[in-house]
Amino acid sequence: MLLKPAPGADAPQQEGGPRRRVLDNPRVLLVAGLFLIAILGGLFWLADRTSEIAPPVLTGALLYGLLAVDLVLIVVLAFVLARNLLKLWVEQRRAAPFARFRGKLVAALLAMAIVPSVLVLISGSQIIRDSAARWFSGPVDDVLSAAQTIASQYYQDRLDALRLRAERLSRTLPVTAIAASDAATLTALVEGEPATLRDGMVELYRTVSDPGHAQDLALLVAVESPTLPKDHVRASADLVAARALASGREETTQDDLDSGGMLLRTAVPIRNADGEPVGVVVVSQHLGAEIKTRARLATEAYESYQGLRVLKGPIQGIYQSVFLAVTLLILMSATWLGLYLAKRITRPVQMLAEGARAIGAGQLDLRLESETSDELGSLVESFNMMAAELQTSRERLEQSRHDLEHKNLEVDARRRYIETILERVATGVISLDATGHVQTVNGAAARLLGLDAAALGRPASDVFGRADLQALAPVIDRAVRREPGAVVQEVTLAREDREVHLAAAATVLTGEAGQPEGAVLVLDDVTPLIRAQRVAAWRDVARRLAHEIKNPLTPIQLSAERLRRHFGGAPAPTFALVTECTDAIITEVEALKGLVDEFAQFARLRGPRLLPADLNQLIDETLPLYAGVLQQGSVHLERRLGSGLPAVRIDAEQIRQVIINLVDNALEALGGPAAPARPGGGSPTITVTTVHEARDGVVRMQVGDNGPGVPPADRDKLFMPYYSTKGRGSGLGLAIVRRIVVEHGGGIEVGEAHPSGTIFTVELPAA
Amino acid sequence: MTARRSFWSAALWMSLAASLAAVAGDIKVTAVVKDAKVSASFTAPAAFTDDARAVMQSGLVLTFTFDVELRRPSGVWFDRTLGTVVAASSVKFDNLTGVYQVSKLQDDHVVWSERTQDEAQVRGWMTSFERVPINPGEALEPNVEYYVHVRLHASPKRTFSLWPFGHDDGSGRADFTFIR
Repeated sequence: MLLKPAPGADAPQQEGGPRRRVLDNPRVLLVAGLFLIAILGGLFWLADRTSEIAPPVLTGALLYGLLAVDLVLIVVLAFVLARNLLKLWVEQRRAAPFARFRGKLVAALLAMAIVPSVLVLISGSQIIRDSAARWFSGPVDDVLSAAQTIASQYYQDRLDALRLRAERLSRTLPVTAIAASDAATLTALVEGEPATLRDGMVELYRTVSDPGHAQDLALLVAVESPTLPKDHVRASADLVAARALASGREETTQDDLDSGGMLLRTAVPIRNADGEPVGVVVVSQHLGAEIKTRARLATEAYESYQGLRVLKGPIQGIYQSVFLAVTLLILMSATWLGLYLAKRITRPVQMLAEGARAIGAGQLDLRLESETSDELGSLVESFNMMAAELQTSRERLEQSRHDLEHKNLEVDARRRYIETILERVATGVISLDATGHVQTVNGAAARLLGLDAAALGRPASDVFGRADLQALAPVIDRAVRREPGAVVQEVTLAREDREVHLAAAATVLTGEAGQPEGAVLVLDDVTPLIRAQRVAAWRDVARRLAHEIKNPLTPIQLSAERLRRHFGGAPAPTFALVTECTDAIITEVEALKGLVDEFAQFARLRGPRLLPADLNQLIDETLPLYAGVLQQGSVHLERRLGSGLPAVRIDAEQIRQVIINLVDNALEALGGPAAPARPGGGSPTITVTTVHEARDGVVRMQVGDNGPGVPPADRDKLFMPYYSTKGRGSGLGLAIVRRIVVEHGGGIEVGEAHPSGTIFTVELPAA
Repeated sequence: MTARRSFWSAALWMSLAASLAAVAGDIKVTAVVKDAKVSASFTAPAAFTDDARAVMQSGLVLTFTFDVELRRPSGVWFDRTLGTVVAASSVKFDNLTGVYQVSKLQDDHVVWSERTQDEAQVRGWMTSFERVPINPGEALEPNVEYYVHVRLHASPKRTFSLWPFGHDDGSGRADFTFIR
């Protein structure tokens, strides 16, 4: 099995080193198996042919060759075992996958191979020893020894008989006849001997002396039985005769005849009276082929037996060596097969585990190459299919994730957009969850209701249970109670000593299944709208008043003047009375005209013509108008104009009117130009300040005084038409101021100065 | 060569041979150097063990193989072998006739053969070699030490060692200094 990437993918790192294809090749394994069988067959053949092998080879090269083979096999087996056990140990130390399982499997397979092999080796060796002991058992030894003794004894008896006969002849034959080479006499004396020997022969030699040379022999007589085989050679007799002459004693020899028999010869020297050899008699007897063969067979059997017995140790060693070699080969084969099987079993599982780990790590393009078509191969195929499915699913998931991410980004962008809108809109939005807890509060709501982040997550009843928010409680309660439909209600809250008019709309949110999911409270600050409505109403009133009142004023004034002129000739008291009354009428009419003019101005106030202008310069040009008024008074007019003010787009005349109205209002608040000193001893002071608020993009102008100030409850009413704390005047000054500032896109607020007094803040957008 | 010169030469070689006779291991070796030719006489009476006799009496051919080497010792490396000869003696006993057939070989050539029924004579023949010539292959250097090393291998053996490599049944050595 092989780890490989899917086509087109990067090659993964392989674990376990390069694959040993040679050892895993079935053909190689088949050849190795056949080779092993051949070796085993050779060993068995060798063990079967030990009797045919020459003993020196058997006990030398063969025996030590087998021992060498055994030693080599033991070394190889030890090496294979040590190497694989070391590998297993290293794998277990490294905590390789399936190392313990493989170790157990190898141990089990080795135990299955080694234990039976060792038992067979021990028992087989014992059997060989017992068998060898039985080969050389007593009865066999006795029988063979007896047979050989009989054969040998028979042979020796025949030789003894020949020797006795030869000795008798050597003593009885006449020396003179020999010396005289009297063959006829000698022949007559010995011609009967062969007959008594049955198949026998007698040969007589006489010595021949040659000066300067050793003695030689010359044949005198040779007689033989007629039945004696003719394939004997005389040279043999000559040789044994010569040996007897040379040694001076009897000599024997045996001649194997071509006819199958054996010719036993005994040569005895013939001596004269002085003991000098004068000749040699050779007596021969034919040993029949059958007897010779049987005697030789007995001897050969004995020698074969004795040869085996003598070489019992080496032969036993050979058998045990062969057996040991066979056992070692089987053991080595079994060991290798066990290791191979363990590898074949564990490697696919190990590779599957590694593959699963790689896939778990995200390498979904990994594929395993199946080496077999068995169940493990099917498992590998299933694994590859699983990997392919996972890869496909992963790709789909990646695509879905990418799409979802894209949509999430869109949703997030939309959410941020909505949040931005919600934060920027002037409408306050508060969301409650299904349990009535505050989920979100946008900036406008926080600003309108004075809430902070601490309100998030708290129950709405707690958040809106605050005293200044009590007016919202009914709306919140209905939302929390999940009363269906939208609840719209206009509520007025006292915020920072002023009234805030809110249009509160609570909507219960429901899911697709109709289950409640919370509520949304929408708050619209309708205070400017109400103010505008009021101003519009007052402008309408002012226009009507100006129209309805101003028209009759002139006839009234003219009528009063006419009355005064008419009564110019009347008695003095009457004229005085008339004059007093007409003057009062004319004065009040004039006052009404002024009042009507202010109404008319308020009603007909034109729209501003905005042009870039320097607010500081405008202030510097306007404030000197009060120089004459304040010159003899006690009121100080201070200017704290900020530097680097940007230009503002304003209608200079209208803003000048704003400045004048605010300064007039401050002057009135202080009690007029001749205002007394302040209770703390300080002089009455009016302060005009400008500053650029770059963060808000506005230029702020403040006009403050250190007068008695305005009660908080009246501050919001200051900008209402016809509201005056002075009890005189039209009460339109601050209303006109607010209208001008609003129409410039700015705003105006009134606050409390410290330690006393009132401060008006006008914000105009920077150009 | 005059008689006088022959006498002194023979005397020299006899004394040299006597001095070179050494007893080393189980084989008594005598190196004889004559006319710059080396021959070795050796006898291994202990080689004819009971096992060897048992092998012989069983009718198997008993062979004593003597590896005779002429060497020049080296102090730093293996001794240099100048010449070798393999001398062997074998005996075949005929249990039927009681005759021992003894043969002697040198370098696989039969140089002597004899029959006898005397076992003592067989022992002597099998274990004694006289003047086995060793061809050194090169001329001996004067005043240089040499030695003749003889190793015996008997076969077949009745016993065997579990260690299959390098096992001799006997060895002997005779050192000599070649003097021209």
